[in-house]
Amino acid sequence: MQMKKMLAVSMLAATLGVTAVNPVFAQTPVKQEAVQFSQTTFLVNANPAVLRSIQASGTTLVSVRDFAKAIGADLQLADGSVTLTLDGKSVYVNPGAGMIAASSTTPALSSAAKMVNYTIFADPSALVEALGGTYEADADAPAIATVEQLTFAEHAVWAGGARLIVSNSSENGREDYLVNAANGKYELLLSSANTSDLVVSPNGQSAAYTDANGAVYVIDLNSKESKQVSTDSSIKNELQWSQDGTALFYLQGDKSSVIAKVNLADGTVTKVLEDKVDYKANLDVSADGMKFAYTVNKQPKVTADSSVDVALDDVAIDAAGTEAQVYFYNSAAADNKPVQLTKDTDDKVFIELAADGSKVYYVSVTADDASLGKAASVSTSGTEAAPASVFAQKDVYQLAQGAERLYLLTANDDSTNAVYEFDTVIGESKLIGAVSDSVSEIIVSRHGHLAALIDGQLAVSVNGQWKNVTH
Amino acid sequence: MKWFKQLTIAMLVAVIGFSSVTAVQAASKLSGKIVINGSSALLPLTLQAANEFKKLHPKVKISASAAGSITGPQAVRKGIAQIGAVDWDASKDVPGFKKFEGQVAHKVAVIPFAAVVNKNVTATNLTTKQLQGIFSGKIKNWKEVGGKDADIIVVNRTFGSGTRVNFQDKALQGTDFMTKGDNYKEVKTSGDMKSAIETTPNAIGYMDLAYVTDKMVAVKINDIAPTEANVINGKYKVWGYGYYMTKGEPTGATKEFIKYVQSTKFQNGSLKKLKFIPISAMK
Repeated sequence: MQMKKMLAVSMLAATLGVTAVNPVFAQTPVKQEAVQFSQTTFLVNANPAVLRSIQASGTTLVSVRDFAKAIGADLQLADGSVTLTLDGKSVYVNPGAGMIAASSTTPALSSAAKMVNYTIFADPSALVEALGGTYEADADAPAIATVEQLTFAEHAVWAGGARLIVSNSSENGREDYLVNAANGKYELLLSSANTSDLVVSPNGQSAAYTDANGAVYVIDLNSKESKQVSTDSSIKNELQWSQDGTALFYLQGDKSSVIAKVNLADGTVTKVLEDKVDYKANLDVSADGMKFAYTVNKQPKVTADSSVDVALDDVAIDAAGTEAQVYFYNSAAADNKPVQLTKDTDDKVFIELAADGSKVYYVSVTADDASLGKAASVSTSGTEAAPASVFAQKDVYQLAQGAERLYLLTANDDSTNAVYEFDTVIGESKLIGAVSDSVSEIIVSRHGHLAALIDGQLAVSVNGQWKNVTH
Repeated sequence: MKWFKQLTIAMLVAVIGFSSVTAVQAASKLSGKIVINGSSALLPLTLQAANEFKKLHPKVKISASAAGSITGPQAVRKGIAQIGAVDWDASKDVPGFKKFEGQVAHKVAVIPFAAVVNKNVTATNLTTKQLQGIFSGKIKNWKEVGGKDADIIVVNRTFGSGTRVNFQDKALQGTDFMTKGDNYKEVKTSGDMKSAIETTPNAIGYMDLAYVTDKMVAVKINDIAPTEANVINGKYKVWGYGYYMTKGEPTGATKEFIKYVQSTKFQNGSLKKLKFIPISAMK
């Protein structure tokens, strides 16, 4: 636990540009008076927060105003005293009487409260405990927890209402939680076994998933009630919502050879594309539900003569021409045939179809040993001779789309990665900021909100800084 | 690339209480090329895992092919593949095949196998003895096993198929297959078997349960239906583990890919969706 906190502090300090100050050895004097003011770093709900502090009788007291701001508490001043309220619990601080209590009429919890230069300071441990939180002393950064947060995040997606769905595997299956993006407060949404990941609807109010029998369910993210919408038993991969939320598209079958659609109102399944081409993947659908982008992986040709002695290893594998290629299908087009958009030998991952279906964006990974990733695009009109480069300044690890922008996770320096935003309308990219190189994924909402999974923890981007919402 | 911190892994193992830790990894600089060849039964699983793994490790190139289980460890021994996908443990001798020296077997899935017949066949509950008679060519007409009067068309997998090895061992209890005749044919892959059974009246064959479609019937064996539940509860015996064979202990991208396939997330998610059974389900 100690190691983890030190890691988190140093990592965040390095990444976010926050100076993590050791409260014992590295306090920074800012004003020399009878009382020495300092700035002390605490871990408040898993995030570094610098609070003004003083020392009184060997105890560190913190500015009550700074403390309230850090934990998001309501603050009310009256007659030289202050009352903090958080989630229905209150703490009353009267520096004149040297008193911290649940209210002005209840017994004191602590006498460690003072006013210095019109600022009220109080013992943070007493404040936290009165508000129902926990305080953990630590030589590097004392930890204040006023919100119970998840301790691990394996997978996350954005949902509506400034929430994320965090999913963690368990011994019996998987547990999905709704997590408040502002403070990390969470609630169990779904505990299930043998189900696919939840795919959030365009309006963010429901999510779809399948079970091992292929049945499709939709869960209401507010009532937490699941409803089975289809009993069709075919294997369904890569669920995608229609923009109006009335249907789901998916790749059907163990070989993902068919693009199919299930109508949520009556469970009717229809085949959108059945071209006998196996192993489609990375399906994405345009806003009008008529255009589809995907990749196809062909299998290498294997030559093996079963009549030859096994010991002779008479087997050969020819992988030429089997690289993943991007395909586009317009179900409204007159010829009604998929079009192969790329032919090069680069690997292609993170396929994103523009909402209007005009372009396909993806990360193209070069075939040579250097294996550099770059963001590329290809027009679905078939008029471009070759894919166009979108971003090649740095090695691209991931691409995601939201709000007519692409978000790119790239290499940066020895200890950090970078996140760039690419405006698909004006065709320009800009650096959003750095992130720890332990990031496994950035998560982009339909509205362009960003989160990241870092070392099994979930962080949300707030004004360009990453704020942990699990710990 | 940085791996999920040791401390966190240890905490997770302790908290969750099982050894196959979920795969949360850094957006990685891990690179390399993995060539996988062998079992056609395992191919859908391998390709699904490859798609997911490449989103975690976009610089790892994965190529997967299938030409029958035996070609998996052969390709590994020849040095043209890093992983051989096999429906048996090829590091040990099995009937018909010597062990592959120096190769390490990694369990990745439980594969139920089913005897399947064309939809026009009415005899859909067969005993072990009847199956032995049919696949050896001694029983030639469906009426001999309670069906209608029609010649039985036997469809077999070619030598080297892991499905064939498992079916012969577990459904036929080691008895021999017929090898020729007007009503006998051999096919190379599970996909070919599926096509043959779907389109050939009076045909019988066998395949990975995941390949069974609504255009055929998976027969009961000794009154036991080939279902996941019957495999797990021990009533249905015709199943085997799917293995990834490597030359010695795997390293680098190959090691990480095998870890991903064995991870709880993949085993309980995509693997089950593809009708395989997680290795942890078998006690």
